Amino acid sequence: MNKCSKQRVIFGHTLFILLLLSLKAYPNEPIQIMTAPQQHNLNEVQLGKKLFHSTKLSSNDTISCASCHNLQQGADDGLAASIGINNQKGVINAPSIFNSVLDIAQFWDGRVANLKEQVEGPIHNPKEMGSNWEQVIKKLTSDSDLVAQFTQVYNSGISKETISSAIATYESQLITLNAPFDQYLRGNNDAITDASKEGYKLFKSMGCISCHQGQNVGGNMYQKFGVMGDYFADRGDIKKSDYGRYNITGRERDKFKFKVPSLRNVADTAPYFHDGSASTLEAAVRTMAQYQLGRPISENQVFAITEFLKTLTGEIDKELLP
Amino acid sequence: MIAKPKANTVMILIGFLFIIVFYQSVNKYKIDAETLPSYLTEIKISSYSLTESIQTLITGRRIDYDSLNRSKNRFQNSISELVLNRSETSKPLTLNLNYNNGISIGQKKATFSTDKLESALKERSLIIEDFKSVFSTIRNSEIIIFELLDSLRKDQQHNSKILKKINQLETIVLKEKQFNYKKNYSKTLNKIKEFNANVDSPNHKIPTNLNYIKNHIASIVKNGPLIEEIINQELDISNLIKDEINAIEKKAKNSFEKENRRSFIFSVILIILSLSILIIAARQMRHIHILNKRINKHNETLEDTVNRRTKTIRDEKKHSESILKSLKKMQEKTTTLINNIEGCVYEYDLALEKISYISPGVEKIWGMSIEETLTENKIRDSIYPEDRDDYYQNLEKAINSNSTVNLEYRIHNNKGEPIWVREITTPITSDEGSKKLAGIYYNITSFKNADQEREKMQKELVQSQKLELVGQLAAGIAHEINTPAQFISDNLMFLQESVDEVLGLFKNINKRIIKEEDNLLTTDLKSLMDDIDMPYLEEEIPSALHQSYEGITSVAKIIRAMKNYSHPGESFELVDINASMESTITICSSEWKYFSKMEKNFDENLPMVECVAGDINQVVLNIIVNAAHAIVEKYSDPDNLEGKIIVQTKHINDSVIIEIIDNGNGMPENVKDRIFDQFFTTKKAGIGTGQGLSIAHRLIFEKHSGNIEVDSTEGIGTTFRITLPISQLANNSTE
Repeated sequence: MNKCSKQRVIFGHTLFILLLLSLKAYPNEPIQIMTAPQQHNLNEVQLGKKLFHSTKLSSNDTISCASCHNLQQGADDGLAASIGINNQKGVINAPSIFNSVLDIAQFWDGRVANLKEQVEGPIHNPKEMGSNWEQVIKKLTSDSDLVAQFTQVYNSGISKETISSAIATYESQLITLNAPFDQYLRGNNDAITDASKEGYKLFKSMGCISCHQGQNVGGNMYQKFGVMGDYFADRGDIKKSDYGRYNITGRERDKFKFKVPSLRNVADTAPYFHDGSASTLEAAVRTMAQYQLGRPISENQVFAITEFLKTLTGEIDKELLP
Repeated sequence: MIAKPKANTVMILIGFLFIIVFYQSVNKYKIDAETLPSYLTEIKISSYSLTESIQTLITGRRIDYDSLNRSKNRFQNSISELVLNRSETSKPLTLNLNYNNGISIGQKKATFSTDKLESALKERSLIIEDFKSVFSTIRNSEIIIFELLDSLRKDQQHNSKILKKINQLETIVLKEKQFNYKKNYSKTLNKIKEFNANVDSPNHKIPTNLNYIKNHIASIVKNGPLIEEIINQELDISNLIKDEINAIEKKAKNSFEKENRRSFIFSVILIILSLSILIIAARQMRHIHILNKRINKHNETLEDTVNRRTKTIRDEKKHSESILKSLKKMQEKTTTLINNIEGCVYEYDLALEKISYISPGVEKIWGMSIEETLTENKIRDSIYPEDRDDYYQNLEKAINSNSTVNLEYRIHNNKGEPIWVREITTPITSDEGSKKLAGIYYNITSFKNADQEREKMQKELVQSQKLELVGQLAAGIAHEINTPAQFISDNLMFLQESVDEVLGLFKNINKRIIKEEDNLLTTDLKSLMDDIDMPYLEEEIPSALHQSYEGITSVAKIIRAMKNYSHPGESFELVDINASMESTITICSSEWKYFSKMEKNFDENLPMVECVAGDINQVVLNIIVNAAHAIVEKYSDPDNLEGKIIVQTKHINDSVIIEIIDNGNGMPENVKDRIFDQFFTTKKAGIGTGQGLSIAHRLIFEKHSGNIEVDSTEGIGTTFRITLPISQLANNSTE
């Protein structure tokens, strides 16, 4: 009897200690540690990788997905607007595809629900790849190795669905892990500098966190560009693409609304905003403070915040890189 | 008793029909009533947790939309899971309602519209997005307000009045936020305005941050009602979804219960049906049992009777069987007897004038089948026309006198052959009263032939005996005649010679008388001579004597020929055919010499032929006589001697040929074919027997192994050719 109650006491204590430890290990922070992506069929991922880097998806065999989403440079092209086939200039800034699987929807205006549906967009856009499914399937079918790879993964062989599925699967694996900030969140206090820590504090206290939150530090909601100021009036030259989500829903309240972009790897994805108007991180932070936060910001604060933002750059599995 | 089982069958059939109709209406669908509640519960829970997530965000400190998104996704998935389970996207959601009411288990489909749910889902998504945007803005402003208030407090540390105001404001904002920030931020804004009014004086420059605060408060005021509206919308939509789910649940439950009820009623009907069938069956069984008992009793008594009856019947049957057997045996015997008997038994129906029964023997006699015989009157038609009259006369007599008659007649059988039939028939009266003839046919051809043969032989024997007698007589007569003829002839010769001398004497006497003068003697003598007409005598006596001599010579010749002809020898010997022909012609010369010429054309070098001379003579005689008759028939005035008979002999190889040619009236073909038949004759009865040529044929053909042929053309003449082998040696050896 005695022995039994003793065991109970020990068990109860252990449970309490574990509870405390878990609370310490996972502080109640608005930004969560990035976790490894869901594992997929390796063959499918490899096939997606091949297609992602294939110029056959474009009408004149010059542009691949990787042309605008350079995986070595934050998975975008470093341009305000991307260059499509025949050196055509696009209308919008290419977003990074890293961690894009975690976003609520794809494209700046969230016009498609997921990555698989997104694939069709650039292929058919005359200013981007300028091709179509029929052409793409025809070209890909001429590559016997590729056909074999397809039939190995999918029973149905090459089709619109399988191409999209392969590319989307590959993209879903492009998760940046182990960013210094993630290490910090795990409890490694030395993972980031003091300035970064200060920046994180400011990030939360100055209101950035109200939109850029969650595991992906953004990407999980839409917000009007210019909540506390009229950005577009100040910038001028309003184009259709500037209306953002309004183009999709047609609701007045969605005018100038965009998907809040993820700030992970933000240091690598200049220029910023849908129009690529901010060429540096500092400029972007200033613009955000002005139009979104509606408050003054000091250069120290800008510095601290950019230092924090730089700690959000994670690593990609080398296997997934070309 | 007969109608009841029928009614039962109908009831059972109706029962089966029920079952078939029921199971026909059951199909399989993706969702069934059992899994539906789990789908609906999931929607309810996820919908609730989504609302809760929003509430947590509103009341909590932490801003993290990931959990909200997760709730939203869960809710979205819960609906799409239900919706995607529709059989076809365009059709309403179809559910299978499984039920088990303790009696029967089954399924029933039910349809639900998910349009409301889907549109609610879309609307809610937009509301959530709006919430996130607006809430972020408000939360942002709140954060910034406190942040700016803090910094403002720091800036205005020395201005106690403003500091006091700031603290007041902060208290108000905090209070508002804590209790009813959503509704009463306008109050806060008023306070700020009041505060601004207090602060905004010429003495005090309004701090920049205060403007920012004002802006943010304005933003909250603007967005406060908006977020409230959004939250209300969200609550409305979640209630709507809840109601819709409840409606679906209720409808499903209702359908389920209805189906359960339906199947329960059906099952009860089915049970009642089966019970009633059972009861009916049981009653029937009881009835049958009672009946069986009665029947058994009855059977027992019946059995005895039956046993007894059976025994007698069996005995009778045995007896009758044995009778039948013996009858059958007898019948078989009779049939065998009738079928195998030489001859043919028949029954002739006089009323129908038809044969009503005939045994198979008919085929042997007539060569025709029984059927032919029965259907056509072939039997009577086959009787020789010349025998028919006799046949019918005799039959008539027999029928009239009711006596058995024995008939013999000739028929032509199926192949046209002549058959002799003997028919013994008796008129009878059958059981039915009809008059009939019962008789039997025999084929008596062989007997008849034998009879004829015997008759013929008899005739021949008589003939030959006659001939022999005639021959003997002729020989005797010839001898008797021959002797006087001999001395008559001798005497006549002597007389002739003597008469010449006597007449010469008389001539000389006459000459002398003439030379001598008349004297008495001479005168006497003269007158005496004149009296006897001496010159006439002188002239006639020698010729008379000569003629007498001729005559007697002729007589002698005939006699000799007769002697030769009637040579009694019957044996083969070497014969001089020419001589034989000569005597034959001579013998019958009386037959021909008045009507025709006779030309003899004999081969001088004819060898001696081994034959029976009498036979050959007889044959040739016959032919010559016939030839003479033919000539007589042809020539009305036979004295003209236009008729001509040529008898010629030839020697060819080992044979001698005798040809008798005449230029008489010849024979028609039908006669020619039958001339060698026995009893065939064209002559009147009494003149010819119809035997001559048939005997000739037999003698030459059979006896001498020779041949006799006839060649005749009507109106021109007939040629008989007899071929005789020189030697009979070859024939004898072969015989």
